[in-house]
Amino acid sequence: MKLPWRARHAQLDEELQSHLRMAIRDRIERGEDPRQAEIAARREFGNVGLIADTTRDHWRFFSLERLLRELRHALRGMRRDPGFTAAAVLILGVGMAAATVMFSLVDTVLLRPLPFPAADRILAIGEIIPFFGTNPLVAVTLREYQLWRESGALQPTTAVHSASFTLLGAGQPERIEGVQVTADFFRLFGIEPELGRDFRAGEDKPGAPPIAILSHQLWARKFHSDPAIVGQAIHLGDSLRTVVGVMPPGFDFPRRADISRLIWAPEQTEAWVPFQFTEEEVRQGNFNYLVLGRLASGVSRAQAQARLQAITHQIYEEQARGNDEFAEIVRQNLPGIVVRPESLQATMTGGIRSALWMLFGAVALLLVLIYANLANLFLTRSAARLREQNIRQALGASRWHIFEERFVESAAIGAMAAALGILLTFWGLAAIKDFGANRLPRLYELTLNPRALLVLTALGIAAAFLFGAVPGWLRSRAPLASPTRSTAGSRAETRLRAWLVTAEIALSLILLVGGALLLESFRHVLDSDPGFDTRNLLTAAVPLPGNQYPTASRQYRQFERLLDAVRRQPGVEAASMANAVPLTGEAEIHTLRAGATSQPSAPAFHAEYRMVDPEYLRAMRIPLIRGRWFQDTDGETAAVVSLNLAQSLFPGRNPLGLQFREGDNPPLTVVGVVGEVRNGTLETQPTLQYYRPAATETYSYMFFVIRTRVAPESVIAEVRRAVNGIDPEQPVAHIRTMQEILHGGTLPRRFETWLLASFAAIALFLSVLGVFGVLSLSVARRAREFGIRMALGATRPGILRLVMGEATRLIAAGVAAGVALALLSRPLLKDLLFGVTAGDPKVYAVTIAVLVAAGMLACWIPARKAAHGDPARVLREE
Amino acid sequence: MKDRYRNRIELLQGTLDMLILQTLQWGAQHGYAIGNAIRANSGEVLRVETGSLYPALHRLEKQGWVASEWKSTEAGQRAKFYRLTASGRRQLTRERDRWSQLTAAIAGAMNPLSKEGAQ
Repeated sequence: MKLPWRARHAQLDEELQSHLRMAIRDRIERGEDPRQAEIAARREFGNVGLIADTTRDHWRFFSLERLLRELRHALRGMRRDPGFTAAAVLILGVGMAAATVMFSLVDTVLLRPLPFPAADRILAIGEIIPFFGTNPLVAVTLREYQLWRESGALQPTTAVHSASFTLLGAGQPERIEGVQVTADFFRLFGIEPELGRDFRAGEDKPGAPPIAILSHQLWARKFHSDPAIVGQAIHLGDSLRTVVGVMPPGFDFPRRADISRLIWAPEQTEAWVPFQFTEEEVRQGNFNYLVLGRLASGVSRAQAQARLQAITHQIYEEQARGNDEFAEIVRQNLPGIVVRPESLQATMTGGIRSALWMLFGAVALLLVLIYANLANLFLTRSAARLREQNIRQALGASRWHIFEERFVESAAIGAMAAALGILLTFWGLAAIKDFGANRLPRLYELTLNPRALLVLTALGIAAAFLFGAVPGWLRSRAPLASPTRSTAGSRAETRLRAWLVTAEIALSLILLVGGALLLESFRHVLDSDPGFDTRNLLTAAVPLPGNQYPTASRQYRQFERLLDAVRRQPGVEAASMANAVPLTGEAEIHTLRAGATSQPSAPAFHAEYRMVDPEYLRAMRIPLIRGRWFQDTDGETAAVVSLNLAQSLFPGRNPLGLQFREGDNPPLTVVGVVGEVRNGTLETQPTLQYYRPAATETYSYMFFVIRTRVAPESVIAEVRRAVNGIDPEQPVAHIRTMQEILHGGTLPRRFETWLLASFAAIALFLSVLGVFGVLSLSVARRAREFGIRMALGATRPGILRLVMGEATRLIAAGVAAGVALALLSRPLLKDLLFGVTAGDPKVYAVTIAVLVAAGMLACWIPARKAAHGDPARVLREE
Repeated sequence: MKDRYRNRIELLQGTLDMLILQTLQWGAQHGYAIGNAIRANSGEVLRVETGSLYPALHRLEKQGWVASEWKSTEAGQRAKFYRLTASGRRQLTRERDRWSQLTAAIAGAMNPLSKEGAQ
């Protein structure tokens, strides 16, 4: 079957032919010679094809038929020049994918509101306590929660605390990660359970019946989505709990990746139980609780902040009454203690916000660079096709027609690049999700959304316009002259191309400097000494269950029994315990003064307190600098201090045997000095630290640190078996290798560095390609000039110098502009650097050297070609 | 070169359309005959280029002022015949009015004295 427009074409042809036949016939009837008649009639008629073409133009302005014709033509052109097509599609596709991925990232993490009604009024309240040092923002106390709740600034308010439970009686026993929450938790989010009900007021009071709400996921996994689960009692943790509700799919707040700046949360919450905290827990005053609140109507965030902060300061002042030591700390620090209610979204993303915007900016630069590069590529190509185009124009093709053709061609390339871009975007999103979904906030939501697709399409259309229009515009200004001569385009074009390349070099220098600074920072981070050996080290949280061990000495004895069992495992070299694990940011801060007697006038130092088992030093491999480590015989007064603490307390003196006091407690005597350990992250300076034997004071919740002989992962099962061999009910939680902790701590940095470095690599490649293209073309254009120069006595090295000189000017201009712009953009990177300043001359020097070397290398090939051309042949050819 | 054709069409546009419509009011005709008729009726003064004629015919057809069908000529040749539609007839009246206004205006402009005299 004929396509409709084919039939129409045939009809038009026939119509014109019939006209011709009639004209010839008339002439013959008038007596002309048949041959002459035909020639005359044809001459009178004119160009049949052209008339048909002009007539067809009146059918429709931009018909599908014509589009397909142009497309066929474009595809033919592409097949003729597969290298160009592949390069253009690849470069553009990669650029579009990079831009779309970054857009999706920024959109998902920073722009999209949390999936709760009026989510911007949900606040997470953190506190800045200057003497805590490591982490600027900390979680808050239960006392604050209680009083804030009554303040009326927040309505409702909830406190959250992580908990994990062993689920029995539903298939295999399983450790379920969940949280304890006060009754208003679900009301705060405005999320209703999909089954049953949420918690009611009073169900979070001690003594209320034990109940639980399950996540959709847990309900499906362990209870086969059985709706009868509501009302049933399940064996969760140490008691039977009645399930009162099941949450809808997708609700699993809090997640560790989202809230890790404030508290340790489950990777994904699967169960919520009422938080029935006791007055004793309130009195302990631990900064362990995530408090969330919805801004009460009619209250601004600033008002809420003022009210909450006033309450907190009041609490500090109350606690300071009758405690001189604390009163002084409070007096010194109260102005610096700031309550910070931030929107929950801001709290979630605060750690990564500046990095994401920086990367977004980087990708925008990269995209500009890609477009400059492609514009250049298309210019080069259209210059190469000038001859064809001129001939076609001479045969009657209109400029509009040729422009249209170019446009269709670049649109086709844009479409292919978009297809590639979509594939790469999917791949990139999956890779990023893989990389950081459990560490970086909100990444688990990352998908290709319609908005990102819109961006991709817009980029494709922009490309088509730009590359169809720019050369077309330049051509239309050029006179329709000498189709046989210059294949290298006009002077205006050469200038434009030089500009483009200069811009490319400048942009890639910015990206290279950024990438190099981040790499350098990352190297500094990895080089920073944690103060102990992080390899083959396993850590676990070990909370003693229930109230079986009421005194510190009984707790210590039980811990030692467990540790001995662990030490007997073949893969274990040493095992010890402490009240906190390094590199996690957990810390207990005490105020210390030098001297045996209490002298409030002596300078006070805030130091991290570690209670440890005697094997700690060996297990952690912390260097002993002076004196000795603990022995089993050490009593309550023995202490080991970090080197920086020794220097602070006793400047210029031998600290061994000297005494210091921890508040009003009996003085402690220094028996040894050890190296400092980084307890926050690799990027924070070590704090002042001191150690005391756990035998004299133990908590019921300690962390085991286990030095292994083999890969630490392979010892996990052994450790569990050993502990549960002593007490089958003893939980061993949060088992992680120190490498995992380290890895987790550097993950955001690796993420930024990896992305920016790859953008920079692409940029370098593109700008080198740009330099190469421009120089090659310029050499081709000037072949005749070089021929004449050589014929007149110029030497080959002379020509080489000439070309390289031109290249050097291009590169130098680009580098100069790039350095200026990079220096201007320093503030963007400042927050992300470590151990290096944003204007580091060494980094700049190396980066410039790399770029210049690569650029020069790219020039060398065309320059050599110019110098080695045969002048006689060149002159004959032109 | 195509631009040249286009310019000429534009120059004659309206006028050529009117001439074609005028020619067709006596019956259906094919393109060749239309061209010949215009030339003959204008005393060999107006020569219609085929490059203008056919685009004009197709444009008029698209406007709905003429309709076409394939028929045999008297000489037994197949040709595409155009005929005036009802709306084409109305268009012709409009064009003719406009044309007489235009010629009167031009004549007035060319002979201002006789115009004054007429007042």
